[in-house]
Amino acid sequence: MDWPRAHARLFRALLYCYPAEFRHEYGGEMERLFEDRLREEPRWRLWRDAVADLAFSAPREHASLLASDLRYAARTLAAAPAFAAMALLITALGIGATVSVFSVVNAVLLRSLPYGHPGRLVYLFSPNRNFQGVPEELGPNIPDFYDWQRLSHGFSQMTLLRPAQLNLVEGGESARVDGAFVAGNFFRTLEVRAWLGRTIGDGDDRPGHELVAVISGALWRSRFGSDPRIVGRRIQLNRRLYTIVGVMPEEFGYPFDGDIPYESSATGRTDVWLPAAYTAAEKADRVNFESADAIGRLRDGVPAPAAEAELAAIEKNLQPRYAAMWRGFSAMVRPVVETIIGPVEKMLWLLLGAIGIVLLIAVANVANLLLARAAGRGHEMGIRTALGAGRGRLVRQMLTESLLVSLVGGALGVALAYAAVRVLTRLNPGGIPRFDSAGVDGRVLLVALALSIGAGLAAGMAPALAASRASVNELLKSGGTRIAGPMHRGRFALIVAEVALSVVLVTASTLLIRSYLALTAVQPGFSPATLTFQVRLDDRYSTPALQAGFERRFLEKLKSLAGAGAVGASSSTPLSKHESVTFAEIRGFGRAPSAIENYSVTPDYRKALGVPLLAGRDFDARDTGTPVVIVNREFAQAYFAGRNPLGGEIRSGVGDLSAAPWLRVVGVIAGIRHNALDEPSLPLIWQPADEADRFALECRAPAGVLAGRARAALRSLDPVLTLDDVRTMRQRMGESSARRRFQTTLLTGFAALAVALALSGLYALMAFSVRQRRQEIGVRIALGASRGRVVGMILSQGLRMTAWGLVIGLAASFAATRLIAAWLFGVRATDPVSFAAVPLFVAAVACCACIAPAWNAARIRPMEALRQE
Amino acid sequence: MAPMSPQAFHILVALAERDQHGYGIMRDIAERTGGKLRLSAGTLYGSIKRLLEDGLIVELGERDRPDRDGGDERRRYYRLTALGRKTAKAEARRMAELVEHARAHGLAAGAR
Repeated sequence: MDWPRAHARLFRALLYCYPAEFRHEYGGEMERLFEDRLREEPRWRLWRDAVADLAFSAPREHASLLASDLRYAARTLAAAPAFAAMALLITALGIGATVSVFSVVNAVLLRSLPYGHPGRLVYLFSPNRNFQGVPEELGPNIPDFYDWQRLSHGFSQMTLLRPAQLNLVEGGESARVDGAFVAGNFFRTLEVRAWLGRTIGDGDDRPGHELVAVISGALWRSRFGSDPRIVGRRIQLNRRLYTIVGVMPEEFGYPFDGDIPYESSATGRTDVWLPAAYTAAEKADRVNFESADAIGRLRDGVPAPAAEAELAAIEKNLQPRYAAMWRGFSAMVRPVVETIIGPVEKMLWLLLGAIGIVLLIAVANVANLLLARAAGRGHEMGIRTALGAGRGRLVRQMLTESLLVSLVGGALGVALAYAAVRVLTRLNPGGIPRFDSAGVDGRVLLVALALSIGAGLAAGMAPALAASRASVNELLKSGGTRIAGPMHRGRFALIVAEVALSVVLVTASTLLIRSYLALTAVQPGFSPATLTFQVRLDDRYSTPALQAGFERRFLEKLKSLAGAGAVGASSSTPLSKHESVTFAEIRGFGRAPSAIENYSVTPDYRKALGVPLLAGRDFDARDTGTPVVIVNREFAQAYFAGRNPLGGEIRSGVGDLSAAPWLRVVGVIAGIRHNALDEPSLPLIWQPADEADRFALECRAPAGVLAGRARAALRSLDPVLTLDDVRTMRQRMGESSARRRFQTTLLTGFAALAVALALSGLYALMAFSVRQRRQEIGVRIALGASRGRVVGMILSQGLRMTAWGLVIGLAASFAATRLIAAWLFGVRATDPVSFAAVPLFVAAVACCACIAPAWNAARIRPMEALRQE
Repeated sequence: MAPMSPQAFHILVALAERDQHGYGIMRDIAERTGGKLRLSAGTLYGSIKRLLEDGLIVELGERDRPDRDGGDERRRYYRLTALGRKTAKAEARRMAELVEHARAHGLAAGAR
């Protein structure tokens, strides 16, 4: 038995695929047609036709309605060019800025790394539980690594690498390039292939076969003119001839600066890979051992903690092979992706969140403009309703309008983002991997589209509903002014929200600015004017004696340079991402609980660097090799509390110190911010030396001139060597605070944008309100209200909104600033100065936004205003 | 003006003879094409809506509805307008010319 009714009912349900208007007009007819055919035709054919028909004609009806709505929207927008321009500008700014920041987030956090299955790659570290105060992210010792590789089962591959700066001599010119010595399975572990030729393979890391090189696409382009026959060519690196066997794809430059904890490179990316060839003896040497960075690829199904437990067990069994002072190494396994992006992840999400707030304000602003316009269009809506347009139809029309604005604005925003991303990448603070590769790609465009649609719907919803809710009668009777009431409340709420959101951003940026100012006021412990650089000796200087001899000669040359004041050298320069630590025992205190910084310095180094001497004396030429030491204030305070440090005794080293000689303290210097300006000075000791490879010059001539003279001096001693890492301490301070400056600059820019948007919204609403209340104000003036009173009335209306926004905004800030507490320096998240200054600032600019409308209100002439009735 | 869709043309032809409701139009077309073209509801009323908007047909008021074959009260009847007739003629002429051309090149049967 067949059920004609059921068929008809199903067909009726399908009619909901059509636009409501069409359904209302023809739905009944269509049902009847269907029922007629139901009586005459086979069911299967009827349904086949009906479904095919629906699939074709329903979208068509929607499209034709959309087209007519769009035409109507475009016409009405063209008729209000000032409104359209304003709305487009605001949308373009909001979406453009958001998309720009998102493109950075996309490049750094979301775009997958150019390695196969990056989620299974892990860093292998080997922390030592006895090294207190030393970072845990230390690469394994080379013999341990090879035993891990041999004995573990949790990894499908395990490889090691050692970043190094290489001296490339090409066409008579020498240049410094960042490179890495890598094990034969390095490229296989990362699952990357060469773009030209081959990568370094298993046979290449055997001693005697290691003179092959793989270069980056960037180096191939810049140094070798994209020569397609590059493979097989020989290049000179660190005075050895290597044969180029392959060129990597453009996007591969691992390790980038920031990819490996506590490693840094000068250029930000790696351009040359060479085999790391260890002899069998080196692979087993636990007396004179080195460490390297290690990467593993987890076997499928093996979680990182399980792999870590396995390596730790292996490492534990290896400890007896070390001398007692070294024992205590273990294993730590950390995902590569998290390690790389971890340090910047929070900052980027914060910036994205901040710009999201700006976008919200922009949307609220557009909603506000639309509401104001809807109020002016009450009459039009009334007429359309009277002509039979349903409520849904009006909502649809209004939403089409706001979507048109947001989509066109979004497209403009994307164009803006293309330019803004270029500016953003120029602000690169360094140390953010792949920051430079930020750009507008498919995903960014998709996000821009989604944001535009979301913004259009959000901005259009309130005015659409408000307009459609109004009753025809009232609309026509009042000429549209009646719907101003509910809309006014909506606009009031929007302005309060805008002010509140911008208060959050202003508070956050005020805190960051104050942190930055506090940072610039820090006493770094050295003179910013000092010029510093490094000389890396190559293989010709194969013995410590040869190295020391050269460094001494160069130091003498530097001392005789015109324009140089005090000249010294040390084993490490502050703020150069390089530190060296040791352990110490203090007579009368015992063992220091944490590692201390330990550098060797030449006699004049303190003066050259401009470190204040607090007590005692400097080293002199006779001190080298004698048991004397200089400590800093932090050391003295920690370990000589209540005693005179001068004459006190220290011994230092790793492991058992009982055999180490006692060193006598001869001087106390100020604290030095060695690692970062925003990290406190740590206890430090200086030991005397004749020479070292990092130089410091007190400048009595411009630093650039002096650097030129130093280069000439180096050339006169050895024409192949180059000066590296040439910077004044001021430049190093700038680099050290670059990331903070970056986020402070961006957040302050966002806050400024937010305030500008919120206040333009406030201004627009006040101006509109004065126009609406023209007659009322006219009556008040006619009845004797003074101009001052009118100004006060309008001002207080604006300031009431501002006050609500401030109250809500400050409460929200109180909660939100906790999120940025980690980036604050020298101020607390609840900094009373900021929390007092922000409301004053916002209230002041809000007054500025209200004053012009208030003034206009005061100048209303009662007669003219009333005559318009 | 863009060429008329075949469905729209068929509807105009169906209305050329007499005023009809949607179901009548559909049956008329189906008969004339030997059952090959059976307009389903969505396409039929989509076309009718556009023809109405373009002024080629009009919907009949209560009074004008034909009484013959027991003219169904509930149904909507449509009538060709003068403009619709003119447009349909122009379209027919255009198609006839097209067929002439095809014939001249041996693409259609019935050479003169």
